[in-house]
Amino acid sequence: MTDAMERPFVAEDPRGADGDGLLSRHALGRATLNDVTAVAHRLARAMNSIIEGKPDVVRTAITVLLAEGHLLLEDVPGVGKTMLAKTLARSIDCTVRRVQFTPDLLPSDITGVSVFNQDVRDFEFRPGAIFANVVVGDEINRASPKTQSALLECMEEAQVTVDGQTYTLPRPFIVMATQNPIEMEGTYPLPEAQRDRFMARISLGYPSVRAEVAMLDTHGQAPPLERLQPVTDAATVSALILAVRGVYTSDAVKQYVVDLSAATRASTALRLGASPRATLHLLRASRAHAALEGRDHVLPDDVQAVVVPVLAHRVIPTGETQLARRTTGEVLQELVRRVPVPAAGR
Amino acid sequence: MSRARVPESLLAGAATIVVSWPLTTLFTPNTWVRPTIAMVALVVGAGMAARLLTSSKTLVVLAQLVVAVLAAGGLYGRGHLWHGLPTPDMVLAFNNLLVDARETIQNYAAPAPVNRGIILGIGLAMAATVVVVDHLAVMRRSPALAGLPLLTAFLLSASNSGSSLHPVYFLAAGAVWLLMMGRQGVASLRRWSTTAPMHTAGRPQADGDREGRYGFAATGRMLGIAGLAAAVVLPVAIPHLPTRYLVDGLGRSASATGFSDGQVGLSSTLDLTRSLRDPSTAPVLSYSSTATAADPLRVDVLTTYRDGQWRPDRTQVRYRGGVEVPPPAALDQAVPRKRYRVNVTQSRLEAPQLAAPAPLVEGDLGGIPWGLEEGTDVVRVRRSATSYSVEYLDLDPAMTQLQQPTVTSTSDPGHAQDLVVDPASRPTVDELLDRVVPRGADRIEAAMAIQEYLRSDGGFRYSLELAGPIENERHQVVQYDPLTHFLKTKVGYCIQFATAMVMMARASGIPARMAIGFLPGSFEHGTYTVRAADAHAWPELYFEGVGWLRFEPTPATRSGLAPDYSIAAVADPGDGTALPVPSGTATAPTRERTHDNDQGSSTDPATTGSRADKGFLGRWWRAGSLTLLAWLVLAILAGGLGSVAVPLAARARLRRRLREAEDDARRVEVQWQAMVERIGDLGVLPPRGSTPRQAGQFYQREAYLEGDESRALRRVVDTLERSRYAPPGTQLGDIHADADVVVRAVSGVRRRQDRLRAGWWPQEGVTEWRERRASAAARVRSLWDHVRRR
Repeated sequence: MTDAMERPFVAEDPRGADGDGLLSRHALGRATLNDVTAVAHRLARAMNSIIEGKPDVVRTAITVLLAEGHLLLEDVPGVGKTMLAKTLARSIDCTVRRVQFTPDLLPSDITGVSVFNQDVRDFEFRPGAIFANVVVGDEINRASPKTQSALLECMEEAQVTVDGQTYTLPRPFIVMATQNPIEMEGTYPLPEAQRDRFMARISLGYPSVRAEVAMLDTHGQAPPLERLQPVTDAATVSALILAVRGVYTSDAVKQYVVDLSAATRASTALRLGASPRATLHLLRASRAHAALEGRDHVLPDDVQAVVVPVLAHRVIPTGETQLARRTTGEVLQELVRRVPVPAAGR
Repeated sequence: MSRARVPESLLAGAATIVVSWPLTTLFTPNTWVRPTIAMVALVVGAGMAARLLTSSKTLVVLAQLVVAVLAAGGLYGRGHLWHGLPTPDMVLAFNNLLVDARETIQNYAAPAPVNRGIILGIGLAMAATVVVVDHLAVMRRSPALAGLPLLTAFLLSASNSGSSLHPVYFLAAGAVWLLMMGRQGVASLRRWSTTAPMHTAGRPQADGDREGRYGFAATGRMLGIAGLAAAVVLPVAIPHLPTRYLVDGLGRSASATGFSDGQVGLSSTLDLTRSLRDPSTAPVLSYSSTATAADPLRVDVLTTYRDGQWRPDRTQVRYRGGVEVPPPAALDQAVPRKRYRVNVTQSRLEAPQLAAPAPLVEGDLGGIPWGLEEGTDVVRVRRSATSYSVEYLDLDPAMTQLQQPTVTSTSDPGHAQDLVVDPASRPTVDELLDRVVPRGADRIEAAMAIQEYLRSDGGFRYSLELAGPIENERHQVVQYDPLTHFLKTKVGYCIQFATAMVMMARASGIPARMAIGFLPGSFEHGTYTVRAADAHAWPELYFEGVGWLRFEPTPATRSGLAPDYSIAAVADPGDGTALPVPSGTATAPTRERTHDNDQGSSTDPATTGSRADKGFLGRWWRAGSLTLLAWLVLAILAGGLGSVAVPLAARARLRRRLREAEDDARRVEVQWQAMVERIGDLGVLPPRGSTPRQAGQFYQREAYLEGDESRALRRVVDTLERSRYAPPGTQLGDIHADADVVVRAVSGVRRRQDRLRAGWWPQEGVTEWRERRASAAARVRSLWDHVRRR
């Protein structure tokens, strides 16, 4: 069922919120790349204090946030998928909703519903769980395809249409969905078309021994999330996203991105290659990656850094690849080694 | 039909036929040509047919061999076949034919008369050649290798013809071989083109592709033509060393005299042609003599003549180490004689042969066991003697001592063997004797008449090339035995002359035998030098009380003077001390192929002022030292230029590309590529698909860069990244100095051989040369197209 998390639903534009000193001075101006790195650094530090020993995963999550994408967390139960999503949500001072997906969840629970108000004698729109800056969808594969579709439509269009009325979703807007690849019974795995809407997929994996011990210390007493203070706000994140959009992409890098996509389509190890949407997502994620390093232009190295999280869940391996126990990530790494890096010609 | 590979097969057959063409200079008449062409054509056809049916290489070869045998059976084995199939009987017949062929080849100098055996032999050899050539050139697609059997077949003709072959034979063979190579090249290129996009017109789409293909083809053609031209022209231009054989000991010179320890054997089966044709100037013997005119040096004596050939006799030798030899038992004390000493300083004659004048009375071989053959008194040694001295008697019997009655084998059974006349030529010999020797002549009169007849009166001509076959009135070739052939054609060399005299002497009742050895050789500053071409054969006739005496029926152009006693009757009868008078020189017929150093006393003006025993190397050194020096300097210059050509090209390429770069970004790119190539030359190659940053990290790791070097590398990578990927208008620095720092740093940690290679053979330079070659080929190609359009 839908349940509001710690904060009440705020319908108005997040830019209207008072920043109570949290970097909101950038909210209406243009953020520079230095701001991007500084804020990202604070975010990462905050998240790393909760999610022990997974800096790469944290970095990817921040990259997706700045690239205006959505995140799919796929792993076995108990490794901290939900914790990661909640940590990111808590680190930003913004509206957060958490939806626990169950088979009887209805699309209207996600999008909202128009109810008749006796007082004004008219239909009144009750916004659903999707109206928040950060939406955490837990165990998304437990909901019926109908409900999944409703969520995915909002993700793609950043707006909701109910009874002919269109409602714009607040900015920034990020959906972080988790799913469990092991328990298949009674679940509705996301079809390829819907997985394609997520910019990146992250698997957390088991923590290292040291990280696990540290985790016992931090999580053993009070829930650590309660101690976590937001380090930025929605307005700042929006400004950062604008800054990321301004990162320059040379023709050579665009060509490289397209070459990589084309390589996945031509690869004999893959049954289905990357879609043009995937190409677009790859470029946006690369841009965010470059911005996180404080660079105003994208390098092939940026593309290579994000290619596995961005593409691995979209491509489908052939039977032979599966029999050889090669993951799509390995196939993609091999393609990266094969596709030549563009040299000259801007 | 492409499986049959018709053009390639036909070319292989054509090449085989062309290399058999020079055989026409070895055999006459050319009746063998048509059957040989037929055999080759059948084998080629069999190959094509077999390839249509199977792709197995073994089966194709087997089919060709079977067809070759069947064809040979059909052509030469008639009467020995069973329903057209070979029988054991046919194998026997073939064997007989091939034995015939061998004997013909052994007995005749080129051109040898053709018989059925020769035709069969050539046919089988050419069929075998075409099977090998077809297998290599067509089945294995390597016509370059097929050149080896072709060359072998060609060399068989070239090395046996005695004179130099006309260049046209070589040009034809080379041209056909190049055609085969070209055909294979075209076939290979066709196979490539199926993977390249094609226009509907069948031409490759991309210009680069076209240039590449044409470039290969043009380069190949140019190389082929240049190679052929060089093979013909170069022998004229380069300094010419005398022909040398392995036995000359090339590169194993034992002493400063220029002699080598290679040894020479004189075949006692009287195949002197090889020695006589030997153009080697390496001395076989060097000696000094106390005689005023040196006598021939005898090596061997032969008594038995059978089937047109002299056969060696096996006789016992008692070896001893002593010095003195008793004079010949038959020698009467009354015969005037002179004792001469011969000091041999160098001999390359193999044991058991030893060259010495006869009759021998004393020998000092430095301890090597030696002895005289029983019956013939020929000197034999246990080990090869390189230097020795002997003393011999120069007999000068008076006419009266030689006027002895002739004998028959019954009246003188001791010399029965020396009176056997070859039955095959007996009629001709007898008929000739009736004309030449007066009735009732004694031994010396008969001998002198025979010698005079052969030497000058008979109209004989000295030539190493024997006359062609004799035809009768109906133009049919008549086969005679070698001696009759000589007596009828009157053309031959020392063996024929000597054999004729031996047989004529025997027929007229004088015991006679064949001696082989060497003419005295060329005289120079007190030393005689004998070369292989001085080999000679002469008859020895027996006189009671005197022993075996040398006669000289070979015309004076070759053999020089005849012994005094054999001509004294004409000049001054009874006086043996008269000076030798040349005999027959005036009447010597035209000389066609005589040797330059025939005359024993001829001197070589080029060697005045030098010791003759310096040998040919010394002579050659003075004559050719300047040329050699010039060539050496040229070679060093070319080598020096060649070794810096690639590094210079690398520099020129970098400079040119920097000049051609239109903006900073291009310049940075060029410098980066140059740096990557230079570091690659040092053996440090980043993985494929590396980004600049990854390449930089790789270099840092591989070359352990730190401090300034590391910073320089980072600046280079940063600049390159900005030049490639940053927004336009970004400021770019010059990375030349930084790139140099990095290359030097990497070079510092590499092995010396890597550094050497990088310095001498930079990839940039190689690429530059390749591009120059390609552009040259493209230019030639466009010129060719232009010409063709005209």
